[in-house]
Order: sequence, then C-alpha cells, then structure tokens
Amino acid sequence: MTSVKTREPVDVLVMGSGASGAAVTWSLSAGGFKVVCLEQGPWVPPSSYPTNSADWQYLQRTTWDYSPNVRKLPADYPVNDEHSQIKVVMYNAIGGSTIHWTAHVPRFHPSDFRVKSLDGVAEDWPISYFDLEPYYDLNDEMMGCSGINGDPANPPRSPRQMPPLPLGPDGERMARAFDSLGWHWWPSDSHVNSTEYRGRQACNYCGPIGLNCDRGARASSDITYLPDAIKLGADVRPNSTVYEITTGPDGRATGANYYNSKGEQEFQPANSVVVAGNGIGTPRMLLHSRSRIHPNGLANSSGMVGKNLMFHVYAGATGLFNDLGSPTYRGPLANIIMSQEFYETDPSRDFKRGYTFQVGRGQGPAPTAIGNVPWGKNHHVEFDQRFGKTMGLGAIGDDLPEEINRVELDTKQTDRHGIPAPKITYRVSENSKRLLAHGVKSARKVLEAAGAHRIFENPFSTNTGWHLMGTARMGDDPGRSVVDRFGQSHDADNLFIVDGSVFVTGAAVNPTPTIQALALRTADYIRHERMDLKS
Amino acid sequence: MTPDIREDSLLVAVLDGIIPPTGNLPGAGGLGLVSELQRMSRDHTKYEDVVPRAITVISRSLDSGEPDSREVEQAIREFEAADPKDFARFLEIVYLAYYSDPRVYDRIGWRTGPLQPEGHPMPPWDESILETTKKREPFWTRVE
Ligand SMILES: Cc1cc2nc3c(=O)[nH]c(=O)nc-3n(C[C@H](O)[C@H](O)[C@H](O)COP(=O)(O)OP(=O)(O)OC[C@H]3O[C@@H](n4cnc5c(N)ncnc54)[C@H](O)[C@@H]3O)c2cc1C
Repeated sequence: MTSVKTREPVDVLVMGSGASGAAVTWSLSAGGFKVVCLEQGPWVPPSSYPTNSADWQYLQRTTWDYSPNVRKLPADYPVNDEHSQIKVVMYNAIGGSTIHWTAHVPRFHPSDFRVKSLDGVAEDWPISYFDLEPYYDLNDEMMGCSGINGDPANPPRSPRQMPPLPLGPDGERMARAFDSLGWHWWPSDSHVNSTEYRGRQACNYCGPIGLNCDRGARASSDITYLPDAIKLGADVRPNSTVYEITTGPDGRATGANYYNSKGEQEFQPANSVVVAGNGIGTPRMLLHSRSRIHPNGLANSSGMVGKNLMFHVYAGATGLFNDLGSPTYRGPLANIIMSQEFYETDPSRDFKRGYTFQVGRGQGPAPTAIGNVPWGKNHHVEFDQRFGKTMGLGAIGDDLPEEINRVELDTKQTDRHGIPAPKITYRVSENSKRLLAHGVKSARKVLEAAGAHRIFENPFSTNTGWHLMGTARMGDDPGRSVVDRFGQSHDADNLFIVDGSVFVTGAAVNPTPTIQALALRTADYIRHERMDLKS
Repeated sequence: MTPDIREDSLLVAVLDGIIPPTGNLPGAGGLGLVSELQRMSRDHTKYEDVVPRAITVISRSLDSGEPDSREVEQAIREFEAADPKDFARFLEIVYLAYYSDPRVYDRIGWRTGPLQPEGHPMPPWDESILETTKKREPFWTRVE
C-alpha cells in the first residue's frame, strides 16, 4: 500500500491558483488565515513567454495553444468535448487561465442578476449587482484597470486606475461607425496597463495579449494577487494535483488528497476547503470526491453539480479595409471598444437577453493565413488583402443555462495520474441561435458603415469555450443549487466554491471580473463571519 | 518517433501548389522549408507525421513519373475533400513554416524576430472621440 504523507494542518486549503483561487488566497492571507493553495500546474517563467521568441506563431499553436487537448502539457488533463458544439479551452498553471486571457473586463449589468423576474428565463441570482460592486472595485485595484467612466450602458462606477488603452486609427474608425448608426460603443475596460501600475510596465502594443510579456503589462493572477499573498504568508504549491477533497463522518470537508511535484500522494488537512478549479475542473473534482456520506459526489445532494454548463456563444464578422492608415496588427488584439447596443432584452426581437460586441484587430502573418486564406493560385492576392487590413466584431451572447448541458466524469480517458477526465455535453439553444443570427447581421452593418470593402460572416465559433460557468450554481434553494449566496456549499458548511461554476446565468460579457468579485466576496464572508475556521 | 520528411520533387511540387511563387520570391517548395517542417514536426506531437502522411495520400492520386502542376493541384484537392481534418493540419504546418521565414517577412513588411521588446508605437488615447457616444442618456435596466 502507498503511504500518504500528512502535512501540517492549515485554516484554508484553496484548490486552483487562477483568477478566483489567487484572489481568495490573497484576501484570506490578508485576513490572517493560514492558507495553502494547491495548483496542478507549474509557475510559468517569463523566459518561456512566446513573445520572447521568434517562433511565437508556432508556440501559439502547440505548447501555448488554448486547448489542453492540443498542448498536452504534463499539468493538462484531457477534456472529452466530442459531444460539445463548443470546444473547451483553458490553461493549467500558477495563474490558471489568466496566463492566456485577453483581459477584457466588462462587468455584468444589474439586469443580469434578475433574468427570471425581468424576462421569465432561467433563474434570478440570490445577490444583486450592487452586492458585488465593492468587490469589482477592489479587484480592479488589484489587477489594474484601464478604462474611463461615463458609459451610458452601465451604472456609474469608480474611476479606473489608468486611462483607456489608445484606440488607434482602426479603433477610432470602428467607433465612428457605431456613432454613424446611432449605436452605443465605449472604450473597453481592460486589465492591461495603459500606464505603469504597481511596478508593472505599460503595454507597448505588440499585439496578441494572450502570449504574455516580460513587461507584465497584462495582469494575470501569478503577477498580481499571488506575489502579495505569498508576502502575507500564503503557501502556494505548484505541481500539486488534488484528486480528492476529503470529508469526515459528519460530511464536512477535512482537506484534500493530492499528488505532489514528485508524484507522491500527500494529505493536506484543513479547517475549510475553497474550490477554484474553474467551471470544468471544479465539478470534475466534486464528482470525483465521492464518499459514503456524499455518494453522488461532494456538495451534490441537489444533483446540480456539473449541470447547467454555460460558455457564451460567439459569432460575428470580419471586414477588409484598404484605408486604415496603419496595419491593424499594431495594438492590443481585442482590447479596443465594445458595444452594448443589443445587451438588454427587447420584446421586438425574437430572442431573450442579448449580446456585447467586442472589436478585434488583425493578427500576425501565420494567424492571418491559417483558417482564412485559401491555398493555391489566389493565395497571395487573398493574403495581401487581409494582412494588417482586417477588423472584426465578435458578438458574445448570453448563453442561458440548461440542465442537459453538463460536465460528467469520462469513463475512459484520464489524466497522467489516472484521475478521470471531464466529459462535456453541450448543444447551442434555439434562443442562442436567434441571438447570434441578429449579431451577425448587426456586425455586417457596422463593418459596412466603417467602410469595409469585403465582409466575411462567421455564423458560429466553435473553439471559444473559454468562459466556463454554471456547473455548481448558487441559490437559496438547496434542492436546486450547490452553494448559497456566499459560495458556501449547502451540504458542507466549511466547503466553498468561488469560480465561474457558481454563476446562475452567464450574462453577455467576459466573466472574469465577476468571478474575481465573487471570490473576494466569499473571502470577505469567511474573514468576517467564519472566524471559527481560523485556528 | 517523428518520421523523416524527404525533400523530393513531389514534396516541392506540393508545397509550391499550396503557396506558389510570387514576384521574386519562390513558392513554399522552392524556399527550402524542409528542415523547418522537420523541426516543427519533431517539436510537438500535433504535427508529428502530418507531412509524410499528406505526401503519401497525395502521391496515391498521381501516376508514376513527374506530374505537372495541374495534376498536383488536383491531387491536393482530392486529399482536401477526402480528409478535411488531416488536410487542415497539413495546411497549418505549411503556412506556419512559410510565414515564419524572414524572406517572406521582407515581402509582407513584417518585422523579423520576437514580438517583444519592441512593440509598436500608437498615438495616445484621445478623449474627443467620446463626444457623440457620451451624450447618450443611460439606458441600462434599473433593478435592485
Ligand atoms: C484564451 C483565453 C482568453 C480569455 N480572455 C478573457 C477575457 O478577455 N476576459 C475575461 O473576462 N475572461 C477571459 N478568459 C477567461 C478567464 O481566463 C477565466 O474566466 C478565468 O481565468 C477563470 O478563473 P478561474 O479561477 O475560475 O479558473 P482558472 O483561471 O482556469 O484557474 C483554475 C486553476 O485550477 C487548477 N486546477 C484545476 N483542477 C485542479 C486540481 N484537481 N488540482 C489542482 N489544481 C487544479 C488549474 O490548473 C487552474 O490553474 C479567457 C480565457 C482564455 C483561455
């Protein structure tokens, strides 16, 4: 029998060091809790960032690919998404998927928390926008937000830490196109520095935000929350894969069993456990942590763990321009402007809720060619028409929850430790299809108004499963939800979930500021209401 | 193990069929990308045997002897139609190798080397662009 080493007990064990796990680790450490954060991936050294390599385009498609099924790095677990119309992407390392993210950070609207009352769809959240507002603000301070107040599509808010990123001639062209249609637009909020912030340099606009840079211009949780958390005493352990959250005879969490960096099994006892493995990794681990008291998986007496998976649905259009003045690969890829003209439900439309437009730039040579430029005789003409001359509009659609969209444990595939892979079942709803069709038509109008001479419509994107939400949702009813309004499990009062799993609905914006605000709110609750968890 | 990629006349013809010469620049075949394709195939399992497999499939559609460019193009099309997934991967590695070559960068005006530390200059943020959009009354739905 393998002997399992037991570590010194701690107050809080956090599983996962991504956007949410890092925020909780920092906040609880600041509150004087003894925190261990177990992360299955390694620290990612700046020397390995693709932006430092002439081979960045190759790296982007291999070891830095968004999909764990392509990368196949030691920390990656396979994801069986054969039965999903949207493919899952994420990153497994210290910093989680913020290692890869674009850092476009709009907030939910107040209406997103009340979709049942307002529109008769899905469920209302048990909390409101205004419950989260102070935590959105705190998160902006920690990550550093570039942007500007006054957006008429959103409630007034506190000033950002930095002015907006410059729009460039291409961004300004798109802004004027929205103006000419009388449609809303506003400079994007971004966790990308427009000026130096807390020792991290300003962006120098090299292009693909998701490939990182030594300047630290784009915030990720490994260079924001975690260094501060470590200074406050947090023990962040890389290459540590949790395979079971353990429970006692009373059903409460007692810690976690995990494989350490040498592949040995260890037990980390803790007064409480915070799960922050993302909308796929969290249900996977809960379902895998079965016991006599929790026969269907931990925190799953409602049967809702893994159900209601949401991704956001994407569609849009790309326009070709001849007269933008400067190549469109100069500047942050998708941190320019957004439009929320079609965000809220409008009874005159044939779908509920709505979408945000996010404007995107052109890319480097190989990404311009791959998937876009035909091979053969016309190759060069087509390439030359596109390279540095495209602007795109992506419609990010509200993806309402459905129980059939789900995460389960795969019966065949496993990770390198033999832990079952997640199996995803997901189909796009009729509401989403109608919403996206509207998005594509509207995108075409904007590009026409901007002066595009050719427009390519993209009716649906498949490789965009980067927003992982809903699989352990919050609610007041323990029969229909997994956690309460503070992220505390209905089944075990010392077990908390803080990632996108707890979302009741997905809204129509990139989710990470909301994920982090929720995580900070749960941490605040523990700090103030759960002193019993502190030794 | 990653199989070797043989630089024979068929490979050169296929690569030229994918990306033909333009101006003074040879096509993807004439540029001599074999060692780059070999490296890319070796360094990640994604591309392990993509090129030799593609060439084998394409060669099956061709008679023995030296095919002309029309026949090669037709054989590539048959591969594309028969196995779109494998073909897409083949096209991807060819595009990656071609669009990483400094001679191609020269033609298209792309700076050779890593993206950092140089970046690109951008004119500073100019608030006057907000003039129209900021006049709009708030239109978010008010709820508690
Ligand atoms: C390409 C890309 C672009 C994106 N762009 C944006 C954007 O512009 N704006 C936005 O809001 N969001 C964006 N996102 C999404 C954003 O990255 C995620 O929403 C956010 O990181 C989720 O935070 P999280 O803490 O829930 O999970 P993650 O950040 O994914 O972190 C989860 C961590 O848990 C670890 N983990 C999981 N299971 C275990 C286990 N068993 N043991 C130990 N550790 C474990 C994982 O290794 C991982 O590091 C993007 C994502 C991607 C991939």
